[in-house]
Amino acid sequence: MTAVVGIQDAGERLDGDPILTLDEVSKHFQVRTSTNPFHPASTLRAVDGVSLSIERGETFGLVGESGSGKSTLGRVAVRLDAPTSGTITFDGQSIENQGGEQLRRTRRQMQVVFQDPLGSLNPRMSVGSIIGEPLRVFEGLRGSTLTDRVAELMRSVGLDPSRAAARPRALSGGQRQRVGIARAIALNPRLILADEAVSALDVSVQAQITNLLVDLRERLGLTYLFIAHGLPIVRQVAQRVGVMYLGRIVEVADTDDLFANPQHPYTRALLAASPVPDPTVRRERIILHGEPPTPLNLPSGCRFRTRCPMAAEVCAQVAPPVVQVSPTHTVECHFAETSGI
Amino acid sequence: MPARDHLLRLDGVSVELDNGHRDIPLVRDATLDVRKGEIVCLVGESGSGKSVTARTVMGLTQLDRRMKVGGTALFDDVDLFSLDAERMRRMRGRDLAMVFQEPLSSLDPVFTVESQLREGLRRRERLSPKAETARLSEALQEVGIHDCERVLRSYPHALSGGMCQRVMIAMALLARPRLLLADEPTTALDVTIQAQILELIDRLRHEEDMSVLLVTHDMGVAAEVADRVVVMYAGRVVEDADPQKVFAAPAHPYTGGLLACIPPMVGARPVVLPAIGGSVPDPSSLPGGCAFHPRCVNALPRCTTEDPPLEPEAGGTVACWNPLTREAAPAPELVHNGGSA
Repeated sequence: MTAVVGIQDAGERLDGDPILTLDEVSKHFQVRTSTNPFHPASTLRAVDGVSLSIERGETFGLVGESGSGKSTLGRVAVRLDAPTSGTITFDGQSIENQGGEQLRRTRRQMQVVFQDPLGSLNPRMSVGSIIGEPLRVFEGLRGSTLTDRVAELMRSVGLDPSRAAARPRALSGGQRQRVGIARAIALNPRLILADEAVSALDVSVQAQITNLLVDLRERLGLTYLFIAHGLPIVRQVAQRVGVMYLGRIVEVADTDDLFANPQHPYTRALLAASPVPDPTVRRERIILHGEPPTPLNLPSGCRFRTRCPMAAEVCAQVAPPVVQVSPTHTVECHFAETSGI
Repeated sequence: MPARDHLLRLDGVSVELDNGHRDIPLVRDATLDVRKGEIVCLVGESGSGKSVTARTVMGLTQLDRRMKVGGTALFDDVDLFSLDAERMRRMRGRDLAMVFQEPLSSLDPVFTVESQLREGLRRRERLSPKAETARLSEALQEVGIHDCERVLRSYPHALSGGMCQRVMIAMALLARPRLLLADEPTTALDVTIQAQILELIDRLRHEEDMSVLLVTHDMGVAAEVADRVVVMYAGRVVEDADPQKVFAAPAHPYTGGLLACIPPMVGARPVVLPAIGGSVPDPSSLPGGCAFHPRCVNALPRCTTEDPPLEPEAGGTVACWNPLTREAAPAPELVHNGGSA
C-alpha cells in the first residue's frame, strides 16, 4: 500500500531507529445510535488506517481538532486501548496483541501525562505518595529509599521536596502538572505520551511546563508523542508534526517544513485560523465553512472534501493517494503536486 | 473623546467575596470604557478577575449575596449598580446581552432551540407566532446557520459546540443589544470554528453598531479583533491601550511577559521559552504593593510596598512604577526575582 511506504520512508530518513511504529492501525467503536434494540450498532471510525513511526529521542507532534481521533490514536499507541486492526511495534517488539504481565512490562516503558492535572491525580493521596506509587508497585521501594527517590524526582521537575505531604488541591495548576510529570518519569520510561499536557494551563505557566518537558527529554533521553490542538506550542517542542483529520494523518513533515510549506488544504486552513498576537498581521484567512462531518458517517473519497475549498469531482470518488512531497514530507491530497509546490 | 461616545464606563469597580471570615478581593478598582461600536478585549490569566468584571456589568455577580460590589458602571449615564432587580432584568436581553464560554451548559437541555429562542424574543416584543418564527430563522441565518428548521427543532445535545455557540449568539442578538458581553466565547471551540465566530462578532458589530466587551485569555484572539486591549492581573487593570501599542511595545512587564511566552509561528524557535516565573496569586493572599512584583523582572523596592495607580503612559494607561516603555532603572535597584511555579 502506498500509504505505508510513503510514511515509513519518511521515518527511515531520520536515522532509521524508530522506537514506535504503527502500521495501518485502526480503532473502531461500535456505537448505538438508536434506542431501538433491534437497530444495528454503527461503526465509529475514530482512527482509520494510520501508519506512523516515531524515532528514538524525537518529539512527534500530533495536531488536529476535537474529534479528529488524535487522543484515541495516542491511547492506542501506548496500549491503553487495543487497536481494532493493524500492528504496533515498540522497541522491536510487536505489542498490539499483548496482555497481562507482558503488557504490564511494556507499559513501564510508556507513560502518559494527561491534560487535566487535577482530574488525573488522586485527591486523597499526598503528592509524595502519588509520585512514589509506581516505584512501590513496580520496584518495591520502601522507607527512606523511596522517600529519597521521590525527593529526587520532585527536584528534577522543579518542585520543592518539602511539599511532599501536600494534597494536589493545595497546589497551583502548574505545580500539579509537575507532579503528573514526576510520576510519569518515575520508572525511567522510554516514551511519554503527552496528551494536551499543557493545554489547560495559563499561558505563563504553559511556557514553564513546555520548557520542563523539553529539558527532561534531553536529560533523560525521552521520546514524546505530543498531542495538542494549539499549533504554536507544537511548533515549539516537536521535530516532526502529523496533522489529523477524521481519523487519518493527512500530512506529516518536519516541523519547520510543515509550518513554512503546508501542502494539505486542511493544514493551511488550520495555520491560517490560528490567531497570532500581532495585530499588523492580516493574513489571508482561509475560513473553512461548516463543521467536520461525524466519524460515524464519513464522506466518500477524501474525508476533507465537504469543507475543502479546492474539492473537485475526483475527491468524492477516490480516496486521495499519499503524495511524497519530499523525503520527509507526505500528504494525502489529490492536488498536492499541483497546489503550488 | 467626548463623553457621549461612551456606552459603558466602569469607574473604580470592586468586587469582594465575603467567605464568612473576611472579604476576598476579586476585582480591585477596575476602570475602563467601552465606546460605541467598539470591541474591547479584556485579557488576563485565570483569577485575574476578567470574567467577574463582565458578569458584574451584567448584574450576575450581584445575585450571589456573598458578593459585595462597589464603584459605578455608567451605561449611557445610568449607573447599572444602582438599578433594582426588576429594572436590571429589563436591561438584560434588551440593552445588554451575554454569551458564555460553555455553550452547551448555558442552553437548557430539556427545551428545543426554538422554544429557548422564542422565550428570549417574547421578553422583548410581542409578535404573531408566524412573525416570531420568521424572526428566529432570520436570527439563525445571521449567525451563519443555514438549515434553520433542523436546528430550531433540535435539543442542544444534538448540536456541535460551534453550532450551540452560534445559537447562543443568535439568542443574544435577538434582543438587538447595544452591548454584547462575551466571556471566552470561542475558548471551547476549535480554531477553524473560532475563526468563523470571531468574524461573525466583528461583522455584527459593524452592521448593528454594537459594542462588545470580549473576555479572553488568548492574546492572539485579542490581536485579531480588538479595537482596544485591557489587561487585568490579580483583579486590577494593569494596562489599557490600542492593540498596535500593546502588541508592539507593551508598557506593563506582565503584558510583556505574557506576549514573550507565546511561541512564535514563524522564524526561529527559541531554545527556551521566556516564561514568567511563579504563578498567578490566589485572591485570598495577594502580595503587598504591586500584586505582580514577586514575578516581575522590572520590580523596584517601591513595588513591594506601594500599589501603582493606573496612569497615562506612552499613549495608553498603565499601572506600574517601572514600565517597560521607560528607560530601565539602574540595575542594583532592581529586586531580584526568579523562582518557578
